[in-house]
Amino acid sequence: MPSHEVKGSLYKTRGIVLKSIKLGEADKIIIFFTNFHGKVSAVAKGLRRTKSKFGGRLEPFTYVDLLLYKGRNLDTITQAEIITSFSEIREDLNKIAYGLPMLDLMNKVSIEREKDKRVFEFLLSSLKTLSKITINTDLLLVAFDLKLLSLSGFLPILNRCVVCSKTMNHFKETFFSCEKGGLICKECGYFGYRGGEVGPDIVFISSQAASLLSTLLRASAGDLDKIEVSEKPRKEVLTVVRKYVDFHIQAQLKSRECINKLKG
Amino acid sequence: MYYAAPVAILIDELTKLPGIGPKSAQRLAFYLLKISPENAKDLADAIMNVKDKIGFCNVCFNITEGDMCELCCDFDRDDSLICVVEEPRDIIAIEKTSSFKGRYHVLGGAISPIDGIGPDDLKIRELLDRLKDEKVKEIVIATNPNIEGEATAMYLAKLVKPLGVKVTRIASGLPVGGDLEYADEVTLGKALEGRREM
Repeated sequence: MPSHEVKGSLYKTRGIVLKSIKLGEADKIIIFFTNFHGKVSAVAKGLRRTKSKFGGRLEPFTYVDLLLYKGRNLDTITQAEIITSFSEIREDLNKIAYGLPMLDLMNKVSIEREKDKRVFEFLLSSLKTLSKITINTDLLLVAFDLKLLSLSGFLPILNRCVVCSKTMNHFKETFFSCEKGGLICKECGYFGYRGGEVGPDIVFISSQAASLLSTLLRASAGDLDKIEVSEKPRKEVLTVVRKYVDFHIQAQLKSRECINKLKG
Repeated sequence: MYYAAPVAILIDELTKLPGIGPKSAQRLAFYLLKISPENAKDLADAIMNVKDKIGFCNVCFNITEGDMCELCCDFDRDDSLICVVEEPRDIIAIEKTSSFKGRYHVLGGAISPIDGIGPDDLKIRELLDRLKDEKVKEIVIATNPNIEGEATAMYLAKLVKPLGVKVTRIASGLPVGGDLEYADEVTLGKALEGRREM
């Protein structure tokens, strides 16, 4: 890998396109997650013109080699070459439906110019998995959410009760607390927590859903399409992780509301 | 307060226009101060006219002066063909080609999950209602060739195909007058996929 700083104000980096925002008549602001500089926003001049030199190089999901010009506020993109276009994702409505929320969350949790090589590698490998996966696309999104939040410092505790520290594998009934960041055993959930009442942020989850959560947190990319799980724990996991994400992001991610309408 | 109140209000209103910052707004405001009252009134009338008279076509949702747009009223057009576009401006672009003689349907945007725009926010139900008319044999999806436009096209195809209407997508490829070596992999790949016999 050559040095990422080229002469004074031009620099090279590699990045994945997270989002693009229209700017003025024909320009766009592109938000990347890059390997050397973390999240970077840069202007692509004339991108929306049909004869733009960028063509289809700066569409969401694309992994590109970039040459950027350092500006006072926003950088300007001078050159872009595709490394991987991830067209398998962009040509499949189901994959778009689950993939855009991944990019959206990445954009929300990352801070401009905060370099994190692990997060970059994680995003890249998740997109590779998404481009190949044929089943369990919904579980891939859940696993992505759990792992990305863990990398950002919100690792949920899934092996013991977050209130009394009892090991969890004996319990049939379990609760999940977004605020406490993990599972709560039956006793603490019913009696100990918040003066004996189940608080509004506690969600009841079945033991299958609890074990699915820890499987997903540990699952490597290749494991996901081997997971067989019935509809009920699958739904529980989707709901509980979405709540966990919303709690830590302190916003509701709009991209998640369209999933059910778009998926196949 | 640097300006007299009416000037400050004018500048404030002009700043709301797209691409106009405080400095350009100031320049425009001072230009408007200089022009004759008749010219100023013409401008004000033109704006009010547009707001009063222009609405959306009941059939295709193009902008129009009456209930139905000219393109929907035109008897010479082919009823069996509907071209689906994102915005009314796209109709103008296609009309300029003089290559399309069917009808249009304006969706009013494209599916964009990140911005919270889902299928229900577009005129998709209205399009499906139009397809109930058996005259329609084909829809041509002419949304933008970006991720939002492609997602919209795939979503429409999924809904419309089971109705027995032919669904086509406008081609993607190299712009006329361009250079092959500067084409990106995605565009060139699509150009090769969509090649045709000569």
